[in-house]
Amino acid sequence: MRRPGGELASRPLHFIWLCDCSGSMQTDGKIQSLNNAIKEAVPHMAKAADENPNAQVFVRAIRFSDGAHWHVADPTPVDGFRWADLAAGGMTDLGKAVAMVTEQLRIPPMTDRALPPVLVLVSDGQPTDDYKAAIRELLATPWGKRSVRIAIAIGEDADHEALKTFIANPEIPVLQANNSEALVGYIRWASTVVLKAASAPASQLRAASAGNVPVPAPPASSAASDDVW
Amino acid sequence: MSGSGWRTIGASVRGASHVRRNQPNQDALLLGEGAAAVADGHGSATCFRSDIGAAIAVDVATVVMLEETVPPGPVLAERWRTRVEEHMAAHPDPDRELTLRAYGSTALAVRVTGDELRCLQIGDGDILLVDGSGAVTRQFCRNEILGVETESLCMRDAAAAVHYAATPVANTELVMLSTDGYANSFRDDEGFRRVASDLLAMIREDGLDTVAASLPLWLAEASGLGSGDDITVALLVREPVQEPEPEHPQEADGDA
Repeated sequence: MRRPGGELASRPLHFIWLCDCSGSMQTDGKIQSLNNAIKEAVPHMAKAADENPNAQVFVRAIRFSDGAHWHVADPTPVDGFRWADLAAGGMTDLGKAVAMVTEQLRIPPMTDRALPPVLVLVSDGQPTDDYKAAIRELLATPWGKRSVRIAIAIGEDADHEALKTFIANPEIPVLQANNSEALVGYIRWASTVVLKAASAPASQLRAASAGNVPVPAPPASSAASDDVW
Repeated sequence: MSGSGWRTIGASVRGASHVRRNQPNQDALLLGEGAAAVADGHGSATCFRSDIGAAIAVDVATVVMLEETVPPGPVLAERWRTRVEEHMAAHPDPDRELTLRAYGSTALAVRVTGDELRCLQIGDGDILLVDGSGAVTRQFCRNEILGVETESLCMRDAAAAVHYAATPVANTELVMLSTDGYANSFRDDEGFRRVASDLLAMIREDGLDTVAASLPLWLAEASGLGSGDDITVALLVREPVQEPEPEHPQEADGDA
């Protein structure tokens, strides 16, 4: 006897990297460390996604410096996602990157049966545009408000207040990476542990907390003697 | 179950992701005469007794519908709270703090009496009505619910979050209640709504008992290929099952 109803499908989960490609990322190997960290994380991300076949993970990336541009524009199934190296140079137009994400989180193209999207911002400096207005707009949209937002600060000059504004959740700290090992660890955590939490979440009470998905604690930071940024 | 001119059937399956994680089914189902209730326990780490909360929810919701209290929200919320507090007192936990939230659950219930159809709902899930032509309507539109959010019986303002409607049965032939794991298993809402009209067609063709026997398999397949969540469905079907209404009325033959 045939099954009633239409086509069955797993729930889509959109994972978006927002990568600072400003001029300061050229120093001390920061941009190459970021490239290496994401490349290393990709197979682990695919493995984490495999562990929950009921969520279909799609990955994209935005780079921002002078303005913002899609680095990977099409939602790409995680098992087919490949990372092409980013280059650095220019300003830090975080607001423009956030605005581009906001457009993609509207319904449509999002659907109401999606899982909460995961947004991971990686930055080493101070935003040079009106990022606050852009973040307010993001948080005013239904999916923007419900997204899981993570921020990784590269080096001591990163603007923690801006990153906290992006996270907008007192339960999730800014992750401080002062060396490439720490960056690799946080990138891996965001793309596996956080991904798993978002892909199989339990029901959450409306307005129970700032976030829609409980996020597990991040790994401890590495020893200060290794700090180079 | 049969009576009051309506038969009720249902099934509840543990979600594919819960099987992988060795977690129990946190949905609940109760079938009565001309009535049915389903509930979805939240299942998070803080809602560690939500399977019990869901079982209490379907029990209380069914009784509230039988008593015909209008509006049912305050009575439903208060009785659920009382039953949960009784359970807490009878089953203390030395290692964890017991709060209402530990038992958090949704609740959906339907009762048909005479010419009236009564529905209540708090939290996610769906109540779909199918008429004689196969047209499907959703009883409560829940546009404000998104992602994994839900309202819950454990909320302080739970009474105000209960949706209730009493409408004429009219030409409703089938009512389907389901927890959100089912709708979340379909690529789109149209595909999910088709479940209700397809089920009516299948019941007309193959009989209710055949559909009842296949329901658990269909729900397990939906969870496996779809949401991975627990799925619970209850159907109320008018007896005897009517032949489908024609989609276009026949024109009378004119005289030559």
